[in-house]
Amino acid sequence: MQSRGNAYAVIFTTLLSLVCALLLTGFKVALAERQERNKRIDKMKNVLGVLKVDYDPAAGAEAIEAAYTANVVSEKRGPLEVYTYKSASGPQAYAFGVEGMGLWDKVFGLLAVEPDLKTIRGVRFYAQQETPGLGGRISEHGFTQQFEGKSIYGSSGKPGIRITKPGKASAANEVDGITGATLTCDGVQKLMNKDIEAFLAAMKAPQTKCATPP
Amino acid sequence: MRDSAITAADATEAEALFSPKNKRIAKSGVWKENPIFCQILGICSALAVTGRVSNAIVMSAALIFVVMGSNVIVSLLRSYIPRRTRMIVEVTIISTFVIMVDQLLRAYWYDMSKELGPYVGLIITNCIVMGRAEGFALMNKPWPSLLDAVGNGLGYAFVLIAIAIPREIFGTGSILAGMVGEEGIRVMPQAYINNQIMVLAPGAFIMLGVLLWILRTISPQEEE
Repeated sequence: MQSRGNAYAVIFTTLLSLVCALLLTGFKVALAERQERNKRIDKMKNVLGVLKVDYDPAAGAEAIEAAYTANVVSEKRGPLEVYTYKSASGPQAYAFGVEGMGLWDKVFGLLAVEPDLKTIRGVRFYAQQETPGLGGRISEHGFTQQFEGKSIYGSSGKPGIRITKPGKASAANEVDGITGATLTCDGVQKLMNKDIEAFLAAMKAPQTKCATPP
Repeated sequence: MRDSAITAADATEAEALFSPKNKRIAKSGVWKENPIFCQILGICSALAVTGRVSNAIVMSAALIFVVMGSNVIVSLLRSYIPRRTRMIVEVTIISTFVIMVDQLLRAYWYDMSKELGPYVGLIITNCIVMGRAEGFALMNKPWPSLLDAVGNGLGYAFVLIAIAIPREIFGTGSILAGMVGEEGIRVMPQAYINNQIMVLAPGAFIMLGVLLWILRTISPQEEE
């Protein structure tokens, strides 16, 4: 190490920073496309999974993209992006994004419903910052699996699911919460219901493309 | 227990006593001067990423890559780094390697990148990396610096994996989830109820304490 004076220190440090910045920029540019693709495939895997499309999750990126384009149509209805599991005999299921505040930060998930728009086909939470081991368990299979087959309508006939205290779920629209994760579950219940309402409204609203002429 | 604030000086002192045999430099980081259990450096990530063995392995590999890169570059530039801004220079070099690793993971192993989350980026703050750059690479030639990096990195890897194995087995009932398929290899019988504490942070502290206890019993170190 030399102590050559302030000018040297400034010039050296600046030059080094420039070199590092250039190196990293080049690196990022080279990798950006791969990274974007990874994010897209990840999103596709989540949509395919929640819609219960029959595909091999361990397959390569191309196979997943192929499965997605073959089976899923995504369209914007109102504020929501709705994913339809299409097939020759008509839509098999619908899925839409659910997002909102958990305890610490936003929770992002997908909710899939059967074509009757009443029964839940599946739920997935793919991004969250909740407490690991407590609120974080909403991403676990054990929690999300509870929603399958449940109704989005309560006994009163109004839409909305309920996440109850663990062990207390009884009605068709109720699931058990997680011990020690009450606040997270409250947040999740709120955000799911908000987007369930938005979805039901969007599905009722007339399509922008009219099948019959006005 | 050594305070991390005096560790850099200690490390230099200790190395001056060894005859400069490169083998000793490399080996010392693994056991005698293991950064985590002797110098209590770099604990934070050690606790956060030891929930699964596969995370511990990848995190260790990332750290070894970073500390090797930064030690070698710092050592190569050691006659030119201005004394006044040496910390800025060290951090710049370290950050460059850390960002490279983070970007590579996002491009080539996206699932693991999601699993490790912010902890790869936090390698910049890991005391081991800065400690070795400041405490060794700045005064030594590139080859010994590389060996020192590998030694310390392996020492870190050893502790991380040693903590992760019981945490994953008792906390989830399986091992190597993420490397051998999504769920790993089931080790515990079906009736086993997962030990929640092992999955949470206190479990990591407990395992670190148990590990320190076992290792110190096997090889008592002189308190300084």
